[in-house]
Amino acid sequence: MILSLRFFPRPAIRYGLAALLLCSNLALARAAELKLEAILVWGTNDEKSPDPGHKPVDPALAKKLGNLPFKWKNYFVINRRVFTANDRDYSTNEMSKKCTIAVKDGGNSMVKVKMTGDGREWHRQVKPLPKGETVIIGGDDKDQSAWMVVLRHADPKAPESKKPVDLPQLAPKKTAPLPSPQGKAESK
Amino acid sequence: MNTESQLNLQAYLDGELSERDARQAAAWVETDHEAQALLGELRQIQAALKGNELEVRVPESREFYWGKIQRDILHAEQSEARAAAHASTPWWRKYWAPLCAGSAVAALMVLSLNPLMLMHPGAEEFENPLEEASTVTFRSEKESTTVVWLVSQNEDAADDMDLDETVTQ
Repeated sequence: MILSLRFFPRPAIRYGLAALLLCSNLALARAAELKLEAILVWGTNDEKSPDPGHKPVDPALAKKLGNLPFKWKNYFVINRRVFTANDRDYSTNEMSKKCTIAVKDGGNSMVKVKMTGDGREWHRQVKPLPKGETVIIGGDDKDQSAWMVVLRHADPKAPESKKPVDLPQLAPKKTAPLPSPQGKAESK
Repeated sequence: MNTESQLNLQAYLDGELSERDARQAAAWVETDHEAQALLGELRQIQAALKGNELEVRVPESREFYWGKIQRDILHAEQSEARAAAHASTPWWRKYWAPLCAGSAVAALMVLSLNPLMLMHPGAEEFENPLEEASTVTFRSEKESTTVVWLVSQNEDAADDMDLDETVTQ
């Protein structure tokens, strides 16, 4: 039902109603959920991963990582999760046995990210993540390699990860541990 | 005889002329046969109307019509006064209400989007609950990518990233 403006002869009433409509639309927009993608990546100078189950990252991500000032040449996907973040609860995703990323929609294209492992929270951030933007949270690994979690908007058509993926185990020598508070890498 | 003369004759018959004009009209009628003929016709019509005109009574009283006329006159006077006041209003006063409403809407938008933005423009926060760890952040506008590198206090992240002056610690 559309009411004619003749029912609201005073301009103040018209503007007030317009403001209310706008705010309600904004509130609805805020309630929309974010579809995100988190990829646990292992960066190394080795040509191949010791685990044959590890696939190289997609060419677009490889190019992006190659253009960043990293010293590694090759990047392998350890785990990939597509999930939905809302503004009520953190969406928790276990990327590996020792790395869990929890993301919440902070509104206004912001995301709240918590990284945990071994039962401890070791990183937290609030970061703008508009579409097209990528956030990489990483750290050093053994043998001059690195781990990193790539967080970005997922392809809207991409299916969500329904359950934790069985993680391929890295060879003992080339595991991708989380950063240790003592400065020594721990195996995941 | 022109129309004005005919109207004067009609007014003379109805007694609407001034004393001086009435005298002139009477003198004119005495000398002008055409005027006499017209005046005779008019008298006959007047007599016929007086005897045969239907009297129609309206349901409303005389005061009703006068009250309506009075309201219309008052309304017209007020409209003129408003128009005069509106014409004397500065141009910026006309946009005052829309500007205020627009500002209020903009403020509501900002508040409803993220109150944090008011307190911390940019609202980008990092926190490492582990005291031993610190963070190195690198931003590549070209790749639209932000890298947050976690390092322990004993390590030097610059060894692992070919970072330049753009790195902030």
